[in-house]
Amino acid sequence: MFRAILYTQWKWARPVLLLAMLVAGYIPVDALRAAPYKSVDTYHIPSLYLGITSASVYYQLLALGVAVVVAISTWQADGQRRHVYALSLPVPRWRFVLLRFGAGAALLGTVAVAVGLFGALAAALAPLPPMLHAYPIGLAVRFWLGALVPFALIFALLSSDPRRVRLLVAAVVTVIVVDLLLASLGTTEKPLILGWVLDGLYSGRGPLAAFLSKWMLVDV
Amino acid sequence: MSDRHVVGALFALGAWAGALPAQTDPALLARRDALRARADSLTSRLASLDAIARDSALTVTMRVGVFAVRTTPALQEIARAAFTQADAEARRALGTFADSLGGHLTLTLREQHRAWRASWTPLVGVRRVAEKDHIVSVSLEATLDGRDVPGVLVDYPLARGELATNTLAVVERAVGFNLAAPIEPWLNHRLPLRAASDGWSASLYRTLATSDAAVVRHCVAGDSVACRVGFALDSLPRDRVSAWYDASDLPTLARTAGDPMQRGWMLQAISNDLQEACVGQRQVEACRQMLARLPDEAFRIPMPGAARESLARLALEIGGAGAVSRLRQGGAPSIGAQLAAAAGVSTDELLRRWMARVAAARPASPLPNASFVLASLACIAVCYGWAAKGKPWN
Repeated sequence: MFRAILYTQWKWARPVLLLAMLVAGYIPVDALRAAPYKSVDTYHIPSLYLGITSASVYYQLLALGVAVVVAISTWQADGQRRHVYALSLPVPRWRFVLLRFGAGAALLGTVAVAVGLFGALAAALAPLPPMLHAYPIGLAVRFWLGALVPFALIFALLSSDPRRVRLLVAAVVTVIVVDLLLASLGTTEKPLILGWVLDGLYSGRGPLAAFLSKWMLVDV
Repeated sequence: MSDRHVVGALFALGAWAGALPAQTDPALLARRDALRARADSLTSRLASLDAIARDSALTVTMRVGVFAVRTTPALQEIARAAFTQADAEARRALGTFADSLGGHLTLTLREQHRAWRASWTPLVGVRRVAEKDHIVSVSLEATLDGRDVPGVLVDYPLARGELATNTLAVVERAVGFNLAAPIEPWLNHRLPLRAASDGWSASLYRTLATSDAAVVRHCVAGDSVACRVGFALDSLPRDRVSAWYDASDLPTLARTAGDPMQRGWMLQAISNDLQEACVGQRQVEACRQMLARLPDEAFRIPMPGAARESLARLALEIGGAGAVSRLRQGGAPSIGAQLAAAAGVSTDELLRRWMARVAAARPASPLPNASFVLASLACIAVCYGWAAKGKPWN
């Protein structure tokens, strides 16, 4: 059953996944070819490092974009048919969700593998200076885990009871409005709850911490 | 009265005022000069009177270890605790020199007040709202034998550890002020006393390994001769460009070396074609010609300040109790010799240990660490749980 679900989800997200794989192949090529000099057959290391650091942001954006598209495409067909297919299947709800989730994670894994493979290939072809080393596996793992978090968040949101989602959104909006009101009335110096939430999300141990660190294909 | 009448009246008044004779009465002029002299004398006293007014709150004077301290009653307790901690750490780092610092260093811990606070509104943004006068920060100022040492500003309420760390930072500057000539500017007028964290060391490794200067990169790669040259431990090389940089560094160096004035002179002296050949086409020979137009002073020691600091810190660690005193004695023919004297080992041995320490600080593989993996998995599990309970058909 997993194979069937994986195949259908692959079909729905195939154009985006293929495009993502192409981009995953282009990012390291662009980063590594920008730095060599025409007259000298070596890299200028600070420029190379800067290029790789910029590429790190492109990897993060790619992961985020792919995660969003895969998560949406996972539930789009079910949503259009009012989940009749899912309800008619002789499997419990938790298992069906697990299958959908697993298929999405596997599809994100294919892009992560492409990131690792293309990164390894580009680094093998480029004349990297001895002080710098390629880490394609580390990058691929980081990419996969980094993509899984936004994928899981959107996946959960789309597969939830709409009333529950509305309640959640209303609660979040209320809290933000109250927080802003308290700050504007002078009760608090600045929006506190908003600050805590953002700190929590982006702190070193928060779920979005992956997007704060650099995703370096080449490092010291 | 119309506008025309007003303008006419003003014009007549101006014409009459211009016709007034200048004052020539000697008595009046003498009185004017006397008043002017008195006002000038008050202006010259303004700074000292202002200082007296500012210091009027500093009613507490105490001695904590090597520090003579002036502060306010409100800060007395926290100051005593923090300076006691800083004194212990300074003694550990400075060894026997700490006692000789004793009679010379005066610390002033001063309250900084504010009678307003920032209020945030969605439409206006941040605006000021008046409120009761309160302490917002504390300034730590220092004088060494009457000379001002750059101080620090610490947020209030104070934490003991933070104040102690900032005190040590001030002590570093105070001790760095009176070092022997070659090493004082080499250390940026600051003697590093505080231990470096692992994160700092890893960051230093990355900075060195990706440095603009080839000599620094070779040093991190294990070339001790390159380290000597990069630190300028023996002397500054005669041809700094050749000694410190390789061909791939030159286009960037030609773009960045020198201060604005030096660069201005250089760009005036060369043709646009030469500049384009170097910066645009990256032709090394063109870059060499450009760089030859810059004076030697345009090329500073390529080893970054953090690396020099870490080498000096290591020398003090190896040297133990009397290291700072030996470092301050001076008289050594070079920076390397001065550091070696402080460390009590040869320059080569000092460099060898520094290189080993830097190599050990190389960052680990960029694979995600355990806390990152756990945080991600926990988030994913929570989301899955939420999704499994969902009833989207409702």
